Amino acid sequence: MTIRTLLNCEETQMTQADQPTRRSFLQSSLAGMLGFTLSEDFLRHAIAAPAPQSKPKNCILLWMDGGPSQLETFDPKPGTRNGGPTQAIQSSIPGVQISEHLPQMAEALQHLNLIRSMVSSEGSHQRAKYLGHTGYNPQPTIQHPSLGAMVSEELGNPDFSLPQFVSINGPSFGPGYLGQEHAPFVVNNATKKIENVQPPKSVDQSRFRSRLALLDRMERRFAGNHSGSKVEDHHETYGQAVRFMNAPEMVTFDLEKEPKSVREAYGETDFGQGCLMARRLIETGVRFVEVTLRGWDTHEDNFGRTTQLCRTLDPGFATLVKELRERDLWDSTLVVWMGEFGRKPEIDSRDGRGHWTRGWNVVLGGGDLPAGREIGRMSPDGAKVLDSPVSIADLYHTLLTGLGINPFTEYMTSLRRPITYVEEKAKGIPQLTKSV
Amino acid sequence: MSLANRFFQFRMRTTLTVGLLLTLLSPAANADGSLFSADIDRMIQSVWQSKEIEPVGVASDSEFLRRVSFDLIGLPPSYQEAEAFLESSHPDKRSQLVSELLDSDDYGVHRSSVLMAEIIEGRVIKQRLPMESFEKYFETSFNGDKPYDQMVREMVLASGDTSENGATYMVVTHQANPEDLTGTVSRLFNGTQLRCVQCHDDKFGDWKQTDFWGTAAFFARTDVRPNEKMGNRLLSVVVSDRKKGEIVIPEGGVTPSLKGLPKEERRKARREMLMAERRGAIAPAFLGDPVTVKKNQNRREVLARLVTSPENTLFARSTVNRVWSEMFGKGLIEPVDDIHEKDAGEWEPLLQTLSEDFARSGHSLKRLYGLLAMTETYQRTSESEDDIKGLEASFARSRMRPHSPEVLLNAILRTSHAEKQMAKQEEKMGRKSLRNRVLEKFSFAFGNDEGNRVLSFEATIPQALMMMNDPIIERAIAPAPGSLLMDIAQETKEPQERIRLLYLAALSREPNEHEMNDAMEYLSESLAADRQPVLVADIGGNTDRRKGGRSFRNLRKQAEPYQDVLWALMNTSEFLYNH
Repeated sequence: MTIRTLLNCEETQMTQADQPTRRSFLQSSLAGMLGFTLSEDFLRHAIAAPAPQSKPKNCILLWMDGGPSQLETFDPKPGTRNGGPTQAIQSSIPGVQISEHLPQMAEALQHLNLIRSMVSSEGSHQRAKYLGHTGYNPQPTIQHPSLGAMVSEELGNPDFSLPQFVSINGPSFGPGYLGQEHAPFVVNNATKKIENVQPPKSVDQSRFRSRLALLDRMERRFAGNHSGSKVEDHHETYGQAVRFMNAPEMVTFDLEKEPKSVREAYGETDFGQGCLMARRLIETGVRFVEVTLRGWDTHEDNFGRTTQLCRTLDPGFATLVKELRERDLWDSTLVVWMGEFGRKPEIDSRDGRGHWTRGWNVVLGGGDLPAGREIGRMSPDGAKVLDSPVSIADLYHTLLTGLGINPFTEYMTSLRRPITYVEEKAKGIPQLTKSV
Repeated sequence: MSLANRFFQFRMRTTLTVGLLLTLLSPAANADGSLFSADIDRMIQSVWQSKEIEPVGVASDSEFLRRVSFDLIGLPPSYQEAEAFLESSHPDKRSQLVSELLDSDDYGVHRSSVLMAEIIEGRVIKQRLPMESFEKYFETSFNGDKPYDQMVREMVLASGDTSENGATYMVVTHQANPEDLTGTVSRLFNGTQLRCVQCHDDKFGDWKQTDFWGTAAFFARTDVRPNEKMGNRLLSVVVSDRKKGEIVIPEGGVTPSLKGLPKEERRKARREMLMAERRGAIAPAFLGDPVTVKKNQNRREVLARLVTSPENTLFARSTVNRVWSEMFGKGLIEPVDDIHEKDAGEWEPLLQTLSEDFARSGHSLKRLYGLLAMTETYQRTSESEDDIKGLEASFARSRMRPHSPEVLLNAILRTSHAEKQMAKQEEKMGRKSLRNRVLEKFSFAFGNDEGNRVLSFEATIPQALMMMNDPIIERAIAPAPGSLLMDIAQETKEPQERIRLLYLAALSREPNEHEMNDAMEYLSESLAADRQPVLVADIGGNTDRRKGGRSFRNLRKQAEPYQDVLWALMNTSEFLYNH
């Protein structure tokens, strides 16, 4: 059975027994998977059709690469020695002021929660990024899975045509001991065409189809006398790759399909368009999307650069929240804004700020989380955490619980050591658990 | 001159290792008790007999040629080499091939790239130093078959300027960090995973945290300092040892980074570390036993001897087990990084015999690789229709193995002849820069982690997409001057013959009847679709793009069906795996 026939029968209301299984896809030939395109309308229809009882949970991680300054984003200290020129404006959470350069976020903040007391244990970029993406300090003998891989493993639908974990504008981190099928699919740049999902320019569709048919025939002989998982893996992966290239859902990556006004609302930057792509992907059924905004390592010209970055961040983040709410995705989608650490309160001689691990910001909301809470406070000079310190492990505990995943799910590593998704000493953030 | 003649002329250069190989095969050399390939087979066969295992048959010449070329030099044979080997009726052609591969410079290049990748496992080298001196050190050492124990000692105690002493590679890529060096040295050369006890005593085994830090103490005095700079670019660094310096176990077992801390806290942390050094310095210890080091002795020199000493059987066991795993796709003990106090079970006598022989041979890696390549066990086929696991687990069937990104790239570039074009461009751009750029892109498809290498092709969607669609690969297989397609076109005008050569180039074998029919059918379908299957060289051989213009484009169109066949061949699992 080819995909074409599968899709035809989907249009004429498929019965349970007719549902395509993973096997039947694999048994079909590679070339059979090609040669159709579907309209966006059909796609929407197909996706909207079976409304499940409870909506599946999703997660979007907005990764601020380099370590964003809390003092120039969500915890400004105007008028103090460490505050610099950044002014504060009132946000939609009573009593909470944020940077003047985030006016749209000031409005959106009521739907989110703000942690101002993150305390972490890694001060160099690479190690801190690992910690931020996996919930663990790097350890020499083990590769921990990233949050996206955990979500893909726990919530993913293996029959879905697109990967369950997509990372935009950055590589994210891998699946570690969960296995390659949960690796992120990386979109290098949201505003450029994705690499290698179309045949090379010189090869048109009909020629590509002929090539696949030829490959199929060649592969059969070798597979015939080389029983074993490697050959089956090859067949399965090539089948998935071709299915992926031709999946009707591929239009999700095509931002031209959005009205100009929507594209503009997100901001015409790689990050803004990445946020739009994230919304489209989640809507289609991808479970985890990470969008990176680079450039926060502001050792020099901190104020000029963060102002510029905020102009990119503000419309992207705020429009994402707005659209997820409008499209009834907010209560099933957890959104997290974070980087690998914060910036040092003292301003140094180059008008920059160094790395800082004792008191920095994370913004999160959506899903089952409450909204409008402020967690933790810093001293007026921004140097001391006054209450509610939150570790990355605590944050992970809260995120996984919010996604309906047991944070202490146990796994065996290749060295036969059991390990849990989150360190055993982690506790959920009390202000964000449901009972509060 | 016939291809077979060309082949033997090619082989005549082989001298050094033929001698070596003969000693492996001739019974007269057995006087000193050294091992033959047949002895290994006998030991394996006795295990098969006791388990009533019936091994599969012998690998065909083409299967053997391809496998042993990848294993010994990391490259596939060219179609000329494949054809010559298949045609040859020389009774010793397999052993001659093994000697020739061990004698080729590619042997050292491949061994270097494997070991260098193992050493930096999971690490990114931020400051990219020029690689020439490192590569030269490894390549010369491997090609000259330097005793492996000597080589390891050189790496452990290397000092001086990187541009002059390439043996500094390991210390430099670990930035002389005692913790990382301890992990790598014990894992790679003694098959011992000490890192499990870096942070706490072993819950499951006998290791103590002090065992890890006792080994780290050997590196406590080693420094890496920047030396020569050109603008912003670092050209070399210097490795040296201080007279003093101790190691202490930091809280939590990982030396904390002081970055991101307030100034006072950083000062306090440094002060505490100094005090702890005076109070609680960990004394050097090796594999759990305390070691006395004289006051003025270089600690690394002591460690280098301990790691490779004849009394430390782990060195030979670990090396032999690693080589075995490379040649057979699975170690006699698994995982190869963790063999301390483990027994190879039914293979234990074999592992012991091989390790003793390796030590007795003066730790000659070439001898070991030759010995294994010439066993009947290595030369079994990977073909089998039933019972995969049982046979593979006992080495009774050759195992399919993924290629490393480097080797798969080699296979693509060599098969398509794109490496020639790349070499020309590299001459203009500086050594290996272009290849490295391609490799970077290539490795990206293999694993996305920042800084985490994926060491093998594991059939993921991005990899399949890259193989099918990447412009680099499409360009490599395009009929440009000097490409495989052009060379084949010049060799013959006969379509069947061209298909045969394409199969030889991509898979080192001839197509069977069905495959030939399929391919010919493909050509004629393309013909019907108004694409004349002719290659550029058929028409006057005017292949210069600048002169050709429109007619070149035309000719390219005509070569398309052959390009499609090559594309399909290079996307088969037969091409993508070592088998």
